[in-house]
Amino acid sequence: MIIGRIKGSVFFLIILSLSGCLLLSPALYAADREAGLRLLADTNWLAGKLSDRNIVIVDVRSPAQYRAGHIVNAINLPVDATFIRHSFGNRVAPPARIRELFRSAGLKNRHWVVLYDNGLLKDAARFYWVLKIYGHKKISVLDGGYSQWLREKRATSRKTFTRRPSGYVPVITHRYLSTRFGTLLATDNPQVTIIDSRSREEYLGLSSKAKRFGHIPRARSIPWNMNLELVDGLYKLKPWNALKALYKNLDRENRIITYCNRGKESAVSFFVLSMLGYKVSVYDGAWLEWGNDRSLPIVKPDGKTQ
Amino acid sequence: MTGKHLSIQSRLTLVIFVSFSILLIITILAISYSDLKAVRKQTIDVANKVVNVLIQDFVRLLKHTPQPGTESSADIAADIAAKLETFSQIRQVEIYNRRHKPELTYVHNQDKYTPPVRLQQNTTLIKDDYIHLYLPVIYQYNNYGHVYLRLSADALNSRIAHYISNMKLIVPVLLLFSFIAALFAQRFFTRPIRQLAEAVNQVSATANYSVTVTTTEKAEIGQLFDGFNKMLKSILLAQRQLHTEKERLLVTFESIAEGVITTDETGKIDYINPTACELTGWTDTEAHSCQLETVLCLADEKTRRPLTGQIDECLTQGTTRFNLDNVVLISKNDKEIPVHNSIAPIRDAEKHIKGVVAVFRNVTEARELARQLEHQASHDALTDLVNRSHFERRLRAIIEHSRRNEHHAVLYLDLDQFKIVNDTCGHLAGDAMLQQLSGMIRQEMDENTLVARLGGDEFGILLPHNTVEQAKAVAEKLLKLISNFSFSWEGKVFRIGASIGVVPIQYRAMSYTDVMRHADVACYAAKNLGRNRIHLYEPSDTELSRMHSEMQWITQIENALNDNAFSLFAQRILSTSDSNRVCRYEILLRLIERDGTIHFPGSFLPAAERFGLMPRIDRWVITQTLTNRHIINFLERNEVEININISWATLNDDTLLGFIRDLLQQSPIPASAICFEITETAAIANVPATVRFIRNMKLLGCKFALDDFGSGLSSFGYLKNLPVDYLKIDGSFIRDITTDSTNYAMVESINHIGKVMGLRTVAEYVHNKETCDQLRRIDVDFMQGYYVHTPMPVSDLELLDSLQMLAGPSRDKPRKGKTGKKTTAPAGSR
Repeated sequence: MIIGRIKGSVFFLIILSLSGCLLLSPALYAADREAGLRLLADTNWLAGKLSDRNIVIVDVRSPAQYRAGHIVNAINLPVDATFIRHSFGNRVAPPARIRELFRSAGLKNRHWVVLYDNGLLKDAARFYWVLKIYGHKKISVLDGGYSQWLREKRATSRKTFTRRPSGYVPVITHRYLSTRFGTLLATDNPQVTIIDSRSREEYLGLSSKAKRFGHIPRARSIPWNMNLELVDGLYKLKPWNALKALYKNLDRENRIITYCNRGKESAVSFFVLSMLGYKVSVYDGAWLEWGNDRSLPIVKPDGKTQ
Repeated sequence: MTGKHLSIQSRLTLVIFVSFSILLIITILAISYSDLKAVRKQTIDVANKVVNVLIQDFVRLLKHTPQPGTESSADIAADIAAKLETFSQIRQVEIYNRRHKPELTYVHNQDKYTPPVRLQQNTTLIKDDYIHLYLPVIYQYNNYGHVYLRLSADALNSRIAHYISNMKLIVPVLLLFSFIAALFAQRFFTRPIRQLAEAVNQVSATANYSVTVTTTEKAEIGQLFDGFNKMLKSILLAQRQLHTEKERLLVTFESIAEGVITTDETGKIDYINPTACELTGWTDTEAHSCQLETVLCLADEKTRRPLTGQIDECLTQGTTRFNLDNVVLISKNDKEIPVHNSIAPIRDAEKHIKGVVAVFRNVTEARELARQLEHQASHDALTDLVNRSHFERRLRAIIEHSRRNEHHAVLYLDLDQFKIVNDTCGHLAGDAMLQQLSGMIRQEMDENTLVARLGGDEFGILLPHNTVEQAKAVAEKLLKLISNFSFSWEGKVFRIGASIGVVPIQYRAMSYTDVMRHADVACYAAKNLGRNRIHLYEPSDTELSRMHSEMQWITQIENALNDNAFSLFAQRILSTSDSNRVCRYEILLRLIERDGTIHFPGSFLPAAERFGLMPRIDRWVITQTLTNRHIINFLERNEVEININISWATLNDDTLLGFIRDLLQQSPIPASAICFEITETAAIANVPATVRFIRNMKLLGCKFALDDFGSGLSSFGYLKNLPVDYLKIDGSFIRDITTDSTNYAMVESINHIGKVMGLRTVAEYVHNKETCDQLRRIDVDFMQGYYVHTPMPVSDLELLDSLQMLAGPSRDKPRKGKTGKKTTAPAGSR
């Protein structure tokens, strides 16, 4: 009788865990979707929040650019520090490295991080993605970046702004990071949509940064720069509706994996898709890994899968 | 409210219910506990398994070196996180390298990161709804670090919640079930007890004890039922017995001659028998619930004062009261009935007084008889004047109680020439003349004057509150009266005279003996001076009367008492049955003069009696007997009883009792070895005083013999009232028993009656073998006389003792050699 009960309880436990997975996962995405508009911060809003204690403004540009001038109270965390540069491509820094980086920068888990780059969004989006991988909750990206800030002649500074070291704990969040294996599985899985953020030429195999030419099977080509538009000589994200139209063919229920050559362009796609409420991740190995690994299938320029 | 107010049913229900419920709840809790333990173990097992499965990934992460074609650390971390995410119970994981630096932090979904709880490796902790544990990362015998896991205890909690919700449903059902079970069990177990209780109620309500209860139960219940049935049966039996006893008692009470009244503890009458009704004059219904004192109205015979307080005393203190003398019952119609009555407490088993019982008997006849006896004892049968003993008592009282200014006198009258009447015309004529004369004298005297016949033709007249002159006047009046009196008998006419001695009683200067001696002397002087005259006592008269024989005795007795010239003799009283080994000896008195002449009591006791010396003589005898060395020695060696005579004059002495008691206390002779002999005449002279004395002495252990029985009035009536042990048949019957058939019949009947009354009989004056044989035939218990044993000085008792030791068993044989010796007949005693 007791053994029966234990069996029953095991069953109960399994049911419970399954139902927990089913119920909680969409809820998280829903939360992101709701926060969608806030992901993109405009300069006006930020100018009003400069002295907000909860907001940490992070300048993701290089230290030299930072020293030349930055938004008041912004700290400098170059995006290059968040990944490790290898001969075979750039990879997100391991948790231990990120931990030390954020701790020494004085970043805290509860902080609302506002990221900005020069306005091209590539660096800021990349940084956004890293923060997402390591479990940071409140992140905004400044639309138009420092270029817009300068144009609007808002307060800048040359002084290096530092914060006291913190006890930051990066918590790995795998759903924003697709591995080689995960991407390989996705090539056979109609539930997953793969988006190639590289240029159309590269998608078609006309040019390649890797040894092989072509793209990952089942990948759809939506180049990253299609998210942007040039306004008054400055690049900015397209309006909300334009972006929605851009991705309207995507199945909202599907998981989306984006990739590019080195992981920066796909981060822009990732950012936009996140903003739009899609379940999206970035294949970090990117084409530099995939295109060079002959054990992985590709669609060659002739349309054949290899 | 304590459990004592609850019925046994409720208690039993409660107990069964509570214990059943507790048992059930404990069972449920035990199952739940083991289940929860299993759940927890499972959770931890899952964690262990997960770690085991992911151990390669952990090692890859910890040992990661970036290479082309391999995944990055972040990839591995993400991979691990992806795998971990499938286990919802794993809420947080942190992987540490060998330097305890965290290499990976994983938090399930939206959980908040919480710093790891510091724990020893391989231990678990359940805290804040989580299970915390550390596991080492060991792969192929290398330790790469360790991993911290925080597991959700949700499964555990939800399990608990599940149980609680189940309990909410199950527990009331269980409680209800256990309550119903308890109710049924209780009804089952208490059925015999309820049955018994019902029977008890029935019995106590109807008082019907013929009920029986039955059960199929054995063991305690069976025993209880059996016991109950037996108890009822015995109650029924006891009730019937009680009823029978009560009936018997009632019938007895209804039919006895005694009046019986019982009361409750308040003194109210609850039973009165017909005799009591008759005596008190109350009817049963009238008397019921009346106070006992109202119905049983007792009063003192003489003072007529009601006796109160006895019933209350009995009720409160439990004293038993006997009213034997001088009590009369005053009935409802004011009739006085002399009664004997007793009032005794009725006690219950715990000795508490529950009431009193009064028993009383109509003693009119008995008391009348006693009065007659008393009268006869104190009066002369011939003349109906008071006799010597009564006169003595009165005179002693007067002497004792006279005061300084009071004057009393005694006249001593002796008829002159009375002998002539007797001699010429016989005793009948003399008696007739004495009767006539006595009647005449008494008529002449006033009420306060006491006229007594002291002897044949001697009269004593006590004149209280008379001076010498008044006494002389009375004497002269008397003298004149007697002188004028003429008595004719068969044609002859006699004239007689009288000599009268007058003695004034001086305040505190004279004893009774003195008064009587003076009176005697004065009378003698009167006679001497020429008869028919009055003489006032003068001291010089004593010389004159020296020759007077009785006078001589008085001085001699007094001298003998002072000089111890008396001597004690002992005469054996022989038992006719051989079985009685106790020897008895009667102590006799002899007066031995200097010249060796032995005087028997017969010669000096009359004088001693006449002049009131008997108390002194008796005391002397008692003192000597109890202190005599020879007697004491003899008694120490032999089983002997000693008989001592006491005269009537001594009996009247109130101090005698204390005197004997003191002597007995000092003497080594036990009181039980003493038997006092009282003559019949002495005993009936003052029955109450005698009875009192005998009772008191018997309390000490003394025995009593009634001496000279048959010589006096020979009424058996008073014999009942005298608690004596022995009856000594008067010697005058024994003496002629062989020749006189009347005497034989007398002795036989006295002996028979004595036996019937439980007394031992003694025959005196056994002087020859024939008498002895006759007495044996009649079956008299003891024999005494010269044939049996010649009295011998007590100093010879020890000699006898040594002789007996030599002679051995033949000691009881009477010694014939001494029987022939004829001396002046000792008057049976003294």
